[in-house]
Amino acid sequence: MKDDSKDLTEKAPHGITRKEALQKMGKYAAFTVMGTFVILNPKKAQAQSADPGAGLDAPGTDDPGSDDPGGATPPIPPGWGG
Amino acid sequence: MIALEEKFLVNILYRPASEILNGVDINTINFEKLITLTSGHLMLPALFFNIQKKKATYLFPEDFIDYIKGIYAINKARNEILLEEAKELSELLVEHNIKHIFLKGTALLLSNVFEDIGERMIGDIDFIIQHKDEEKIKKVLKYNNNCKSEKLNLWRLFKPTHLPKLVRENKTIAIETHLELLEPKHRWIFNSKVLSNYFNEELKTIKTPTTSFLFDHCIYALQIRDKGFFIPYHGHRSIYDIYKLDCKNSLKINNIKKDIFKKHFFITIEKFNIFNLRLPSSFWSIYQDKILRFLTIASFKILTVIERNSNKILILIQLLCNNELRKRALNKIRIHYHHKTLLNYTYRWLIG
Repeated sequence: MKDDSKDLTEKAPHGITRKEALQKMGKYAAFTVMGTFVILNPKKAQAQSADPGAGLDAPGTDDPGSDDPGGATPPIPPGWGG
Repeated sequence: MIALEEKFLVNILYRPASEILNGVDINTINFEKLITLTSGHLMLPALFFNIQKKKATYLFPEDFIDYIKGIYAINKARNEILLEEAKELSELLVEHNIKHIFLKGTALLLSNVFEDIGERMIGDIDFIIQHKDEEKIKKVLKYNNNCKSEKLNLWRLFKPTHLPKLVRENKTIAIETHLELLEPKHRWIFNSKVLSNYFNEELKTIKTPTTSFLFDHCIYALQIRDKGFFIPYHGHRSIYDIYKLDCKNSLKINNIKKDIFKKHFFITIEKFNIFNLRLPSSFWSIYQDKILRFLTIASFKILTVIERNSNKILILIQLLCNNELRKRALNKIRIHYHHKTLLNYTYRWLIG
């Protein structure tokens, strides 16, 4: 728990907390399938999944959506149209 | 049975503004589910574009629109970079005399298939070259040769479908150099020979195939490589591509009827009523389709069994011929063989 709250308040080098970023992105980010973030910023998505405590750059570039709250995530469309 | 959210998504993407609420009660729509569904199909930017185009923003919560607008803006900015990098890449390849044709999402974007460049989510820049240019392109794009797998595989006798994905220095978007269109075991259905006319033309930058090729490639990739033919799966990104390609000739019923993969694609999405196609629904034609599909799937399964067994044989040959590999395998087996009878036998057999 302590770690979680630290995660939410700890400032990234560019001065935005995870909590602030989540507020900025809105609740819908949590319902977004990871694949969308992976395409929008593959390097950042990889870095975020390797280091969950890392900070955020801009809305849409982090991956709070990797949690699947409803458990109803449809499969990410396979590779066509890469 | 189509989920309410999917019905709503289909209405927004494919129907005119006046029909967006057809068969949908907006009060029962779960917007979180809509986000999960749409993002799973990589269609959030297209959803925003269509909501805006059809002036339907009043139907959605404000924060919902703000969120998908943000995603659309990021995607549009990324696609602008992608187009710029694709043009640079094309110029570089022409400079080195390498004929190339863009494929998939990049080709669709370059062919102006979409009304807006922010609509389509694209992972990487895909393009195809001729087999003879493989070594040349490895030098030009500075491919690392060390990443070759040592493992023997039956399909290594054939050309790989594409070279490893690569992000060039100081570039944002990954590139994927194709040598073929589908995996070796599927090439008897669809292969790069269909592009031979393009390769016979003179060398030029930003070359894209015809819409009818893009239509075929989209369907075969979804049906064969992404297994849409074998499992009940549909991808809205592919359906939307086909919808936007608007291939009047390819969408003729006779053309679809004679190709089991195309036919299966349209049968799978018939429930959405997007394309005005009346596929034959007589008892005999359905029965005939089922038999043909069964036979096709059976032939694919036979191919898989052959592949699996030939791979096993190749591994054994490798073990017998490669001393270093045999030593490594023996070391591993030595640790475990006390507990596993089969490994014990293998160990004794290899020692012998």
